[in-house]
Amino acid sequence: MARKKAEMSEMPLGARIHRLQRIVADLERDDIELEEAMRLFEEGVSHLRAAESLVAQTELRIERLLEGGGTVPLDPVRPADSGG
Amino acid sequence: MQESFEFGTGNVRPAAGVGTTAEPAIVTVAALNALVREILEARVPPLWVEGEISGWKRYTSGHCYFCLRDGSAQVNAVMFRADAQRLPMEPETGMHVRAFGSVSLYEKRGDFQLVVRRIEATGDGGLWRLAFERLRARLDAEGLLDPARRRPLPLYPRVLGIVTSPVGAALHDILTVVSRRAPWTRIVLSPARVQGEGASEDIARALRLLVNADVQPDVIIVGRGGGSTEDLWAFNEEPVARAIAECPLPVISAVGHEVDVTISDLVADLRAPTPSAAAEHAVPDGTAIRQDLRLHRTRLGRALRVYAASRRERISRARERLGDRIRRLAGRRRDALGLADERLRRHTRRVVESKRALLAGLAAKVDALSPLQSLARGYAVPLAEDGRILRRRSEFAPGRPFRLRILDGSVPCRVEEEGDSADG
Repeated sequence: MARKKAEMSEMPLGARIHRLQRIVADLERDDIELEEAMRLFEEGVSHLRAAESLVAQTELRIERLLEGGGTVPLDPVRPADSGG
Repeated sequence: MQESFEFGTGNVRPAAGVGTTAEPAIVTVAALNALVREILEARVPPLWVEGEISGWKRYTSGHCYFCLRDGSAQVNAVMFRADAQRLPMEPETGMHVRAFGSVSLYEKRGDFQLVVRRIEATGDGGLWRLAFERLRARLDAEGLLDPARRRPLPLYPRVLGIVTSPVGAALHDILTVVSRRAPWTRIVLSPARVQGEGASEDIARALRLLVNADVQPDVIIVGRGGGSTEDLWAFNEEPVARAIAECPLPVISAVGHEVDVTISDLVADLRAPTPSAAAEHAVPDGTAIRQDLRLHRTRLGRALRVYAASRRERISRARERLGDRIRRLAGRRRDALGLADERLRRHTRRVVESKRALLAGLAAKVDALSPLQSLARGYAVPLAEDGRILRRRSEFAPGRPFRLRILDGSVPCRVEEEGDSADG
């Protein structure tokens, strides 16, 4: 379950994009303190990088559900495989 | 039509070419029934029979027995388990149907019967339509078809659950779309049999399994590719409908192709016309996201630059204001100092003037006391080299130099020798 926990602590893409939108809007508002602006910028960059690396993935990860609730991986699907 | 038969040891075979003059044969009942059965099955091709259902009964074996009749006649009919399990519902007495099958004879009882493979209701759009409408009405009465129950789908699902056949076209179509649009999405397949006996229960089981999986999906697609009404029927049955209605996660129903609307479509949070369309709805378009992220990257950088520029300007404005203020403040102080200076200067001048006047007065007084008057009268004053006035004899040691101050200057002198006696 350590694996599951680690995944839970990872921020999902949607939350990152949402947060990024807020940060940009806040920075553009211009009425924040300098330290806050720097902190927001750094946070924004970290979300941006994480989101960009996530959406840069090309290999689809597929698992087959087992009766016990666990999963076993199936063959990954690459865009090239999906033609036929 | 007249034919003769040759009888063997229970086996019956038509004997072509035997003349009509042969003696009537004596046969067993079993042989007779077998003969009639063979004739019926060989001579009457499979056909559709129209009539009214009567006395429908399903036995525990799964086989169903009933009567098919019209105004003037009736025939016993049987529908064996393998065919009967595909029926959407139990036909009811009085229901007008069209039954497809072949005639036969139940040898053990000598009953002539119709072995039915399929039944279609002729009124109200058929048995399937009827079953569909009945379940729909029941679910509707429970409020399960209320559009208000439909939940919004997540915009960016992390995990997509799929309930379908692991070997069907639907799975392939979904994976193709997801790998094109959002290949970072984690896919969890919960395999199910999507047609045949018990398919509806199996789909329901697979869906529940997915809900309780270690990796919980954010959205689930339940479906299969296109097929006949019978093929799709599991998605019109109550087990699937209930499982979808109870599912705590958003469900997209994707059964068959465009025209087939199923009960599962009505209960689901979203009905997709095809599995591919379901995938399009389930995951976002990666191209748009990447574009959006690039835009945010630009905006973030620009926002900080604009912020920094505005802060720099604010600081330089502040510095300017501060400079102004200091200059003004300093100016005021300098004015005050200047004033003091002037006063001091005037005061000093006054003091100096008065001192000078005082000095002048003193000089006059000093002048009045000057020995010059005496010198003018011929007196002279002996001065030691250090300027001290020599007054006594003892101060004039022999050989000692001194100067004699007279009216117009001084004359260097030396004591010759010890003088004589002092005066007086």
